[in-house]
Order: sequence, then C-alpha cells, then structure tokens
Amino acid sequence: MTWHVPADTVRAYVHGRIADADAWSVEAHLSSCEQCRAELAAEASHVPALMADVDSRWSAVAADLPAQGRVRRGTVWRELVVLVTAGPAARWAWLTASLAVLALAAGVGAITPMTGGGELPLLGMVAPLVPILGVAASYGSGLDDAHEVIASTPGGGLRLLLMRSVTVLAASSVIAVAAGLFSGYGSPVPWLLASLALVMLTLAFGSLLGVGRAAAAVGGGWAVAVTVATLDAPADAIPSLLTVEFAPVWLVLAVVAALVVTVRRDAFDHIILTTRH
Amino acid sequence: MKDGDSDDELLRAAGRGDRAAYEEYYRRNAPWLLIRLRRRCGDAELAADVLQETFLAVWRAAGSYAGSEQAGGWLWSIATRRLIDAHRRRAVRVEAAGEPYEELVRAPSAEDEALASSFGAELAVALDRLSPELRAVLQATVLDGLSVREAAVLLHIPEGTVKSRSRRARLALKEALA
Repeated sequence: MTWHVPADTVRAYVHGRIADADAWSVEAHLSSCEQCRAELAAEASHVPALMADVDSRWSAVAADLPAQGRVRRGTVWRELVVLVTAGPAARWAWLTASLAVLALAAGVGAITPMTGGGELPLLGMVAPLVPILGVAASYGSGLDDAHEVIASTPGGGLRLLLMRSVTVLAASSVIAVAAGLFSGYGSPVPWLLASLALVMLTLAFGSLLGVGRAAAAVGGGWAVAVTVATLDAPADAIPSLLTVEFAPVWLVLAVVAALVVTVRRDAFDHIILTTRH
Repeated sequence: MKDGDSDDELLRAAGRGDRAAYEEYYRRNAPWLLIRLRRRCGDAELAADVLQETFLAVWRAAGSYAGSEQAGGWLWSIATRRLIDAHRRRAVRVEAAGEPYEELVRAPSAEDEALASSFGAELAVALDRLSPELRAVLQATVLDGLSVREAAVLLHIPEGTVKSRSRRARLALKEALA
C-alpha cells in the first residue's frame, strides 16, 4: 500500500477533532496498514487521557492472563483419524465382541473337537465372518450416530466406507492371527484371504443391496458353504475352503469383487446405506 | 524480540505463549483500538472494558491467527463482537438514559473542520448532510462490517429500522455524489 494517512490527520483523529468522512477513511485504512497504526500509537502516547486507560487496562490484562486455547490444525491425517474413529458409537463394543467370538472359537475348537475323529476348524470357520459384520456395523448402520450427517458430505461415500473397512480388517486380522497362534491352529493364510475376499464381496454386493443386507447375504452364504464343505469332507480332513490350496481362489474372488466396487463406485453416493427403518 | 517484528510475527509469538511479544502487540494496537471504540460507544469506561476483554480474547485465540497482514482487521473483528456483547449485557441490565453515538450527534465545530484535512470534499459534504442517525447506521454496517442484527444491538434500534435507514442513507449519498 502506497497511500498513508497524513500526519496532521492522524493528530486530528487521535485528539477527536476530525470530520466523519475523514475519520472513516482513517479507520478503514488503519485496519490494513501497520505503518499507520504505529504512527498513531506514537501520536497517542502524548495524550494522557488515552494512555491512562491503555496503561491501566494493560495491568489488568497482564495480571489475569487466561490459559491459551489449544489450536489443532486440520490435516489430512487428523481428518482420517476423526472419520475412522468418530463414526461407530459401538466401536469398543464391536472390538470386544470380535475378541470374545474369536477367543471362544479358538478355545472351543482346541478343547473339544466337534466331529468324532477329525477336527472341525471352528476358528477358521468363524474368523472370516467377523470382519464382514464389522464392516456392516461400522458404516450406515443404526450404530453410527453421525451417519446421516456423514452421508450428506462429499467424503461420505465409498472413500469413508473403504477407510472404515480397512480399519475393521486390520483390527480383526490381528485378533484372528493372535487367536490362531494361541490355539495352535495351522497357517492363517487361508482364512485371512477368505476374510479379505468376503469383505470385498460384501462391498461389491453393497453397491447393489446396501452394505447391511450385503453383509447378511455374504455371511449367510459363507455359513452355508462351510457347513456343506464340512459335511462333505471326510471326518479327519479340513474343509477344502480353508486349505492353503484354495487360497488362489479367494484371491481371484477378492480381485473380481474389487473390480466390481471400482466400476460401481458412484453407487455408494446415491443408494440408501442404512438398514434401519 | 525486536522492534522490527511485524504484528503478524508478534501475534504468532504470542500464540506460542510469548508474553513479551504479546505486550509489544498490545502497546502498538491498544491506542487505535481504544480511540475507535470510544468513537463507537461514547462511554470511555465501557470502551476501556471492551478493550480489556478484546485483548484477553486475543491472548486466548492468538494461536489460531493464520493470516498475513490481516492483524488489524482480525483485532477489530474481535473487538466488535465484544462491543456488541457489552451492549447486550447493558441492554439487559438497564435501559440507560442518553443517546447512543453521542459523539456523532454532536456537530463538529468550524475549528474542527478546519483542523481536519479532507480527502474527498464531496464525500465529506454528502456525509455531513446525512442525519446523525443515518450516519451511525452507515458507519456500523459499511465501515465496521456489522450485520443488520448486530447493528441493531449496537444502536439500540429495531432491525427493520437499521435496514430502512441504511437504504435511505445509501440513496442520499448516491444522489449527493451523482
């Protein structure tokens, strides 16, 4: 800014002998000009009536400074953390439930094999169901208090759904692997891949049915498939769905489902994601 | 801390808890703020109260200042909020006697006019022709950037009156400057 308030105008303003039009010009300019503010402060220091208030109020301010407010800047990371953690009101309940279910499955499976001679891999059967239910509960369900607010935001569609799904998968996989190690179950690779594939399938069907209904369908399908496979298998064999040899199939299923989600990604912005009502 | 620091730098330092920087910021900015507040409320005691509250708020919020060379406008926007709050409190307490904006009602003497140098004689004449009520509304809404509701609190008049006076003032200025 090249224009500055003339010195005699500053003086007139400080002493209150100034016409309104000029005072307005001075005030509008002072808001944006540091140099003129400094000049005015120098001029004002010769006015005792003014400086008495300035000094006494400084003493009052300095004697009683409050605690400063904490400023948290909005970063991408903070946004992620808030979106992931703030959503499901029942996240601790969900985590505890996952833990309990997997621990029970591992414990029961290890202590009392449910078929006559062979072992029924209870943990392997139950573990892939846990993340699906987590995904269903974490997004667009009655458990998310902020759901309607979130759904109305630009970031509330697929992006948030994927972020929460990743969170759920990460948490439940760690618990499942720990349960598997603890119970002496075999390689965790088959059921982890099965989990991934089922979650992707849930998302893919979710673009058509809504996430809640898709989770129910995929979960039910899994239960039926595992039961049939168990009945089908010889008493002492692990159902083929849960063997390492079957892993590539899960991988292909996951990739296909991921492709479906990519193609239908816009659907998550429009469909009704809630299963309430 | 040096004298060469800008207000921006002082505010940021104050936001990190630097009291010396905060004092320097106060020394530089309290005078103009106090003068402007006095011109707005005509009560030196109230103006000083608002000044104190404003700077307490500045200390609390200094960390959130992220502007560049907007420290003056930032400070004034905090001060206007405090000023309006003070008027609300006062309005609740008692319907005080006396005209708001007394210093605006008082017409400047010939000596005052001579002392002040004029930037735009036409604008000055046009402004002076406005009634004090119209001028007060124009000052609150245009110069100080208050909303209609805030101006109504500050001037102790209904919102509808603020709107109609503002419209009349703009029309009058437009005619005078045409």
